[in-house]
Amino acid sequence: MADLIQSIQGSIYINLIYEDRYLFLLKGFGMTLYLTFLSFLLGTVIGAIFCRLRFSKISAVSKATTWLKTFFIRLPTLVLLIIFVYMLFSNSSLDTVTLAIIAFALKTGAYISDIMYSAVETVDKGEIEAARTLGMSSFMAFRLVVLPQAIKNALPVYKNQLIITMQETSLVGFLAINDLTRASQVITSRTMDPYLSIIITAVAYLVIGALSGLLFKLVERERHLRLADFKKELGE
Amino acid sequence: MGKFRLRKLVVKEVFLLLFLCLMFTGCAKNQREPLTADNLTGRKVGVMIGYSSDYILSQPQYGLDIYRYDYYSDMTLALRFNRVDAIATEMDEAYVFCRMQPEFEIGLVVEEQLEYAYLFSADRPELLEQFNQFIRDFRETEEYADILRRVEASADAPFQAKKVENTVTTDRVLKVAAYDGWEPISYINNLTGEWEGGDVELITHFANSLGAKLELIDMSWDQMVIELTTGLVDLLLSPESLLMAKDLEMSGNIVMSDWVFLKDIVLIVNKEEN
Repeated sequence: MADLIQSIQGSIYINLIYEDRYLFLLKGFGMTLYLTFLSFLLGTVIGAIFCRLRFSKISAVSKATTWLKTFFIRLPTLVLLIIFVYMLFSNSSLDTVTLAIIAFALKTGAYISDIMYSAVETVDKGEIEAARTLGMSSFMAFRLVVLPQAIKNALPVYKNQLIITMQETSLVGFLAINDLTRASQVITSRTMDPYLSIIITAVAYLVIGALSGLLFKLVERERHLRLADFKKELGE
Repeated sequence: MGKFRLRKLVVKEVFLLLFLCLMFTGCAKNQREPLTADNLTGRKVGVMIGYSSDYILSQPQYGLDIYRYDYYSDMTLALRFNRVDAIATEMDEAYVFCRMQPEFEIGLVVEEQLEYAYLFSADRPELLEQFNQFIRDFRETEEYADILRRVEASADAPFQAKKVENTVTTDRVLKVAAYDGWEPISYINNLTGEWEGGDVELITHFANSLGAKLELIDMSWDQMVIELTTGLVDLLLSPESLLMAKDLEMSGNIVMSDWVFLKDIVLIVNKEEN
């Protein structure tokens, strides 16, 4: 038992403390958080735009958007990254992290547009018609009738999408961006002791997952439509 | 009225599409000044993860911005498209690299005559002792000098491999982890399907001195580390700088042999830059 504890202590020393190697992991953790949340936020915006364009009354626009969305869904993320960094923007001044965020955002945006589209579609058309008959504008009907139901429908899948985005960011190692996975590889290459840093990395990913779960719990609280909402909107 | 609404819709949607396009603008080609020994600070240098060049150039006195890659192909792409200013390799690899890809050239020699050695599993001290004995004698032989000459000649023409027969006299097996496609160190000849390279020849001489059957296994760096620490292979046929020895041996999984080759670390750059 004493041997085991001593070997664990030794492992912690060379993996984390010697030459401040924990800094690699901390920076990697920061980079993964940065990549995940920024590309997810941007992805949500892109997803919303895609979703809006797909509901367009002009068939050319909605078809083009659907085609674009399918294009991004069908390309593997790694291929998308290669195309972005080494083909489309090979000579640009944008740095690799920005390009990676844009690529991830487009990929995530394509998925999110699908999530949003199906969530909005599930709301019964009759409810929108009823809201319009009550004198609401189309935007009001969307905001007060469609959106609350759509959010409720979309949230479970949307939550998973954040986790998927987070896991996909581990691909950036091949562009030499020091994210969490790459940090553990760097430490392994220095210590020739692969186990501890991999365990820490796994735990760190679980922590990010748990954090995002908590964030969504705050959003997810039930909210029912009340009569006062209409009255406020109609200015009564 | 209908016409007006349609136009409004079109304008709105065109603007949304434009917004998507505008996100990707602001792309101008980067300008860089040539590389010299004095202005290394802050330069972006690509290295292979876990290689000696990674370890040595990561030290703070160089002040370099290190980009670590898994594969030579990724690193080459990064250099070609100016994602990095230079890539660092050992001189013998750089010969082959620049011969096969004439758009690159050796820009700067950063470190000279560093001692490179092999990595052994710490569980087999007797094998390490045998190897150290072998390499001390082998460095004096004509075969060793011949390998060095042919490695140097690989700057102009493909490496001239010399077939060394593996003579097996005992039932011992020497399991060696090696990289494929790493001319002139170790690679599988596509025509014959056999391992060739300077280090392969050297390790075959060592196997012959033991009378052991040589078994070369192709694997990635991550896999090599795990297989060596668990004792599935006896040594890694990837020479690493002895400057790494102190750190690598700290974990108690790995020991380094006596030096096998003397190598320089160089920076490879795009030709049009200098």
